Amino acid sequence: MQVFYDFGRYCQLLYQAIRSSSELKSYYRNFVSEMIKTGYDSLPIVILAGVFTGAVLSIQTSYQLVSALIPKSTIGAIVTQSIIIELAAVISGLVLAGRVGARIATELGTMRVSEQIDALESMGFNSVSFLVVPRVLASFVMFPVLYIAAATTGVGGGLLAGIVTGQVPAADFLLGARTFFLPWDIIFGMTKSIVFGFIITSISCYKGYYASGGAEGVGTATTNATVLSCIFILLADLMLAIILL
Amino acid sequence: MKNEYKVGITILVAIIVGILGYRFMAEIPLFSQTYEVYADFDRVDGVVSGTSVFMQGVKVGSVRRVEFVDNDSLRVDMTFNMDRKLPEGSIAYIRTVQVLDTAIEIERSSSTTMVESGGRIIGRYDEGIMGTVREIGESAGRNIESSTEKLSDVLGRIDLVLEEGGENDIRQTLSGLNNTISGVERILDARGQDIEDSIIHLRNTLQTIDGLTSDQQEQIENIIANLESTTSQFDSVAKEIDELSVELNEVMRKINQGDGSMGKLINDPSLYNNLDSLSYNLNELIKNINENPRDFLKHLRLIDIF
Repeated sequence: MQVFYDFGRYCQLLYQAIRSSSELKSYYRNFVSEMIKTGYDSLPIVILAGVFTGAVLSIQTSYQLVSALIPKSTIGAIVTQSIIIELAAVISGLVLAGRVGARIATELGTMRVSEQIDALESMGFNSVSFLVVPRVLASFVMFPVLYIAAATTGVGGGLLAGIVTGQVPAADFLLGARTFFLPWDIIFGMTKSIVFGFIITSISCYKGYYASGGAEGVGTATTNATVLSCIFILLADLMLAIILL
Repeated sequence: MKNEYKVGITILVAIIVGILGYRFMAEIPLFSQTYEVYADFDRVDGVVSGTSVFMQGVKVGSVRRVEFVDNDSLRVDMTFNMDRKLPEGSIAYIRTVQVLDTAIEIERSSSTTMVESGGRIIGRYDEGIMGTVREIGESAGRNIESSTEKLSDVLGRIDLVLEEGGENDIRQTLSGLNNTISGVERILDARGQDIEDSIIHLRNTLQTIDGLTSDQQEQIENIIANLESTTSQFDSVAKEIDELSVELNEVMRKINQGDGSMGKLINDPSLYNNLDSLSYNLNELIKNINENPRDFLKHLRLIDIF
């Protein structure tokens, strides 16, 4: 029953957020600062994750595809496709679930247990539009940006690793990458990143907003937010693959 | 730096990187305006967005979009990353390269009028190697089909034979064959020593003959020479017999024709008739003498007799 209760309360929070999303004045400053925290500050970790994922993928694919019948360009095609369709969105999503999700849940949880949210409410502020809406909207804007960063650096990392290790010449890598490139793959990856951003921020906001039980409660809310975000990212990944491909 | 600047710059950079990345991957020139033409095809097997476009073996562009047009033909939009424009009447062939990969190959015409960006060139579908492979496959398929039919016919007949009690016949034949083989095996087991002895004996005999042949070679040669001379004598005897036979034939012919005394004796029935009547008369006479001896004896006197 707890699952249904949580789901119902989560939907209620989303409804309040959608209803109060027009109150731009009340959350504009928070919106900008959330975009910085969610997007700008996350760029280094996402770029790092992208470069290393691409490089590892390139090296491991070239290690596995040792055959005279398979052209080297196949490695470029596999690495590029994997990163654009899947890894750029999922890896950055999982990394951000830890970084952004945990931060949001901790922030809101601490505000809840220290009764700051109650204080906002008592001063006549709409706490949902002040705290939840800017965070979720910031993810809609910044997650595609982070996806582009992850995808670009991922393909670049793969190309670089291929050249440095001497496994895949740049011309072969690019030939394969370009031959099998479809514009739809980028749209698909970007859609994923937006969905993952929504999942991470909304779940984290929900867990933090309804945290209870002092410092321990905040810790539990943070853990739950991160774990649930990861699980729902993987579930959403599967669902999107079934629906959109 | 204010937060707004940071956000603005981040988003702008992301958009620019995204657009440039897309153009780079889709092989659209990064900064210059693209040169685009289209061609209409009846079918475009394997051509998708991103398929390579070649000209004289060099990759010059890629397919941007494939879509149906009003008259059910397929329009393929191609973008080129080259400085030169295509002359009017150039042909775009869809060809299968490297067995499975499909590409478009542009054949330039000799026209001096160039196709402007967004213009049309001629599209043709060329089956290439895959067409040949398909033809061979179809022919092989037909052969296999007919072979399979024959095989199934043969199997059907075998089934029929088996259904009509042929199975029992085959079983009996096989068991008979088994019995025969086991019989032969028994014989070989039992008489193996004898057979070996016989073979050894035969070998010895042949060796003896060989030895004899070499020892008595001169005598054998003499015998053969004698045989040869005898044979030649036989020849002359045969000739004489032939001549005799001819003469005998002549005599027989004359006899058959009734020529000469012998011929008449054999062929003329009058002698036989005379002899026959004589014999009959003699019989009658003897019969009369037996019946009436007195008639004949009354004329005889004992004195006359003695």
